[in-house]
Amino acid sequence: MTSAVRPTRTLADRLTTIFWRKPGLLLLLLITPPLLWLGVVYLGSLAALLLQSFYSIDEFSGLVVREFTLKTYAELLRPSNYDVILRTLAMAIAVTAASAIAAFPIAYYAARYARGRWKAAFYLGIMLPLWSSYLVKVYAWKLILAKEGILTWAATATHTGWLIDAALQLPGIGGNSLSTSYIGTFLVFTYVWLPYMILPMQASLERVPTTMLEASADLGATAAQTFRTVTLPLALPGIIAGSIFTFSLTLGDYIIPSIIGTSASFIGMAVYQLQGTAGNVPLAAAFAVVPIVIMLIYLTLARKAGAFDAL
Amino acid sequence: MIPAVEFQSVSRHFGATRAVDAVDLTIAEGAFFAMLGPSGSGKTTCLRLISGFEQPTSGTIRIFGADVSNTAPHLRHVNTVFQDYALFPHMTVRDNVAYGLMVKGMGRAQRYAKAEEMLALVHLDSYGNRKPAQLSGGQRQRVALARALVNEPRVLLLDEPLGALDLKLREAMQDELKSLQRRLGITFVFVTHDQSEALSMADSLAVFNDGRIAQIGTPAEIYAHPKTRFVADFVGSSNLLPPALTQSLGGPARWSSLRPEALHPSGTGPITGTVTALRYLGSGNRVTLTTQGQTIAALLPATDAPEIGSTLTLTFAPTALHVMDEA
Amino acid sequence: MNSVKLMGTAILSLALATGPVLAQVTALGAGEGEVDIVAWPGYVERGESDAAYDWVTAFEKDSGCAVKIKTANTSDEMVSLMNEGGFDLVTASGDASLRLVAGKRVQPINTDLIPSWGKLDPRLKDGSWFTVAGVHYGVPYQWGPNVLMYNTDVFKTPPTSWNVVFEKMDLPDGKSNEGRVQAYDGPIHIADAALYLMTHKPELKITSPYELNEDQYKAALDLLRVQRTLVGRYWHDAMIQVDDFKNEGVVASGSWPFQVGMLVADKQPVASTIPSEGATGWADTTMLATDAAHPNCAYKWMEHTLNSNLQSDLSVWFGSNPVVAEACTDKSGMQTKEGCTANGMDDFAKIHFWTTPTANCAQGDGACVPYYRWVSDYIGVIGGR
Repeated sequence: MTSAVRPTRTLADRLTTIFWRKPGLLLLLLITPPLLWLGVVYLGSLAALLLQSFYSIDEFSGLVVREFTLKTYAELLRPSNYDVILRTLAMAIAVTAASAIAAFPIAYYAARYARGRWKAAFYLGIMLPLWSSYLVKVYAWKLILAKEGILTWAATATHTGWLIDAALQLPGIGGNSLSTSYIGTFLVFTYVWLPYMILPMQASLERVPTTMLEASADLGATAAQTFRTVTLPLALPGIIAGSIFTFSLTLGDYIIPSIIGTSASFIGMAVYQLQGTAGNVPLAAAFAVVPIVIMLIYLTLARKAGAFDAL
Repeated sequence: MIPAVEFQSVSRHFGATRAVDAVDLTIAEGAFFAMLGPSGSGKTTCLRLISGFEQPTSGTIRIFGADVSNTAPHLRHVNTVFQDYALFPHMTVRDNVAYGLMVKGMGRAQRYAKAEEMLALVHLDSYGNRKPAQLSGGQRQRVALARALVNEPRVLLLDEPLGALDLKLREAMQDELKSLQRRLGITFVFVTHDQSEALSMADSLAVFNDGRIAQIGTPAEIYAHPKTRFVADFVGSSNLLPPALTQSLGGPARWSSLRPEALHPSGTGPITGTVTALRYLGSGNRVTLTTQGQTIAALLPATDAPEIGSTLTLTFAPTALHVMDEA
Repeated sequence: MNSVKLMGTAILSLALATGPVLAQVTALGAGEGEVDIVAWPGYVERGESDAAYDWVTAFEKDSGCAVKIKTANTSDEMVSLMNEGGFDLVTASGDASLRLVAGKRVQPINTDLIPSWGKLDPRLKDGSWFTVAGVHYGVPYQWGPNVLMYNTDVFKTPPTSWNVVFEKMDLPDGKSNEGRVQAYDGPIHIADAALYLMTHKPELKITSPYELNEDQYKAALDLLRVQRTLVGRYWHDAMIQVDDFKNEGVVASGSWPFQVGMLVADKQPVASTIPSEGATGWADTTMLATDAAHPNCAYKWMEHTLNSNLQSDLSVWFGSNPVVAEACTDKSGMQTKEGCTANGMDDFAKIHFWTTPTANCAQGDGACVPYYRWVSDYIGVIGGR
């Protein structure tokens, strides 16, 4: 008669037995390296950054004074610095709103109607731009938006040049050409971050059961009412997730506004210039803390608004 | 009297698939009507045709005489209790129930009062502030009911209303639905694949097979006089006897059905066979025996437990042998 | 490219030791077999980018010193690499060189050990960016001006003043210069404005565009605010500027010979000039690390860099000027007299070489606006403040 227990043959058998008896051990083994990484590298550098922002620069010698002070933060309120923050914030809000509006129909279609091959085509279409270099995309947009670029050419050919001209006449956001105006920066930001909005939105819309929408119609709601009271609230976690991407990516980016736009600084550019060439690391650090604070405020507001209730 | 729901040669095709194929159907006002059938038989599509989530490929659907073939779901005076309940997770129970009134523009106080009334109707008076996630399956079912009833529909559609409940709850709910329907006096149409549920709740039912209605009638008619082998097999658990066997039992050369509970042990019965299986059901024993190459099931009292392999002789009342149209 | 080095980081504390000079090499021995160099990209070519530009292979064969290159993209990076140690030489720019001297990362050069020292362009020999208290801390490598690049279709004759990029005006083609001129997207551009004011507002008494007191500084910023209304986008990347001249309708801007060369090679109607006010410029120096492990090979390399053929080819490759004047004319490489003239060789006197603005300047200790303020104020100006 054979034994009910197979002999332990290999190290794998033994290890499997150990993990089976102590499931926590495996989890610990799996989770320790990433936790260490996160803790030391990420939180460590964040702490260093925070520390730097409480130093200041000596106005006379230009050297960093390693003493705790809030002076550097006060400097953020100087009009020229404050401008940078407001400009970045306004751009991030505009880009996020535009991304959400542009992404919704695409995500909705993909979640509700695309099946099989079309779904694959959708994913490919959304992901494809992410595969090519970010810089290549931005330079390509520079050519598209240039004064003598593709868009102007197309507009002239279709006699819609006046549309672009009218947009460029707009005070504040207009400019000499699309590629040297805030409109251009905005367009490229929206293009580059759009996939980051579509994907979480699509995922959250996919989780809304069809019967939920049918139930709403069944109870007498019009399509608009269903959208407002059911679809939107249920998709909100996805929209918030997406907006966290578009918002924070816009807050931190320095490449797009340095290639497309009016050259006016965004937070990322200011950080780059201040730490890289000016040696004003404290002010750079204080600037770098701004997006973090804004994101924390944003997440708090989103939570208060019930964005995560349906999670 | 105008029927609550009327199908005139209604078809719904999905590509080459005929989910519903030229169905004629009349549901009387105030009926508790069941659509019974296996999955894919077209019963759910029929329900969705009534609610408007599906549009007929051809044919006419009338609700209380009005042609609704081109009417969007939200404009139909019918409401649905969905199989998964489809409660809105981000709203409280009260808001869920009041939803139908809210979209009509009724004021908050008024619609909440009405919602409370509905919750009381389904015995959930004190649950208004909860979220659906905080309720049990049975409670969610009641909320779904209350929500569907708040608009005072003239026809209430229920899609597998008890499917997600456990056995005990299901039985309690059956009685409750029944009494609710009686109290409200409105037409209930429900879809189920569970024949016992259909038989016990409905006062008339349609048995669906392959997109068509195989038979329509009262539970008693359908149970006792199935028209086709399919109905006989699907409703209850009849023994289906081929023409030759029917003939040997004294009937014509056609298919017939014989209910297991109609068979009794007897010394001289026409059926003699070898016991091949025995299942204890509590209330009795279900015995399977083989005769003339045919398997026949019989429901015997619990005290009667023949051994497997033994020979058993069974008899039945002559009226119990139900001969069908199929040869 | 030079952008970054021009923008250098460092806030120099110019408290340079005037005390005892560091020990320097007194005699050369045999080569150690290798030399490690920190260099700007494209500075030390061994024919890998373009076979025609190779000034390493022959040196390696002749000297027996293998050349190892570590490229650095900013002056900061150069300084930090030198601080880490392990390198013999660095091609330091004007903003890094004095920092390296102050930090004692580089040692004085014994010019007697460099036979070609005498061939050096006399104008550079005692350049303040590598000579401290009469001691030389390196061998000049190359230099270049920041020129005014312009579109020859619009300017039939070269513009004679920087005013085309600083003041609102109609250009020779009758159209305004609004949106058609550019300026450099770095705080160093404040010096260009100051240079312009040296001529046009003599009452400010600016003596060096890198040493500005509060009033002079304010005047420069005011001028830049006017410029902001003219400039659609500032440039910081050479290739983007090239593209802007092609596609954005930009017709005039401060620039480097490099971009001019690119556009001319591309048959674009572009030329450059150094206007009457003069121009800012940059100059790089090969410096020897204090703890160099291969001093003999390093000296051999420094001597090699003054080789006329190398200087000639390097100046063509980079659109710069050789530090050995004869490289322009002796046909030892690809450079020609005309080429040198185009690169600004004859305008040395008009060039104000980049140094880091510090609070302590010729006007007195703490009299000048330090560089870190240039940075944040320039951000403000471009932002429309």
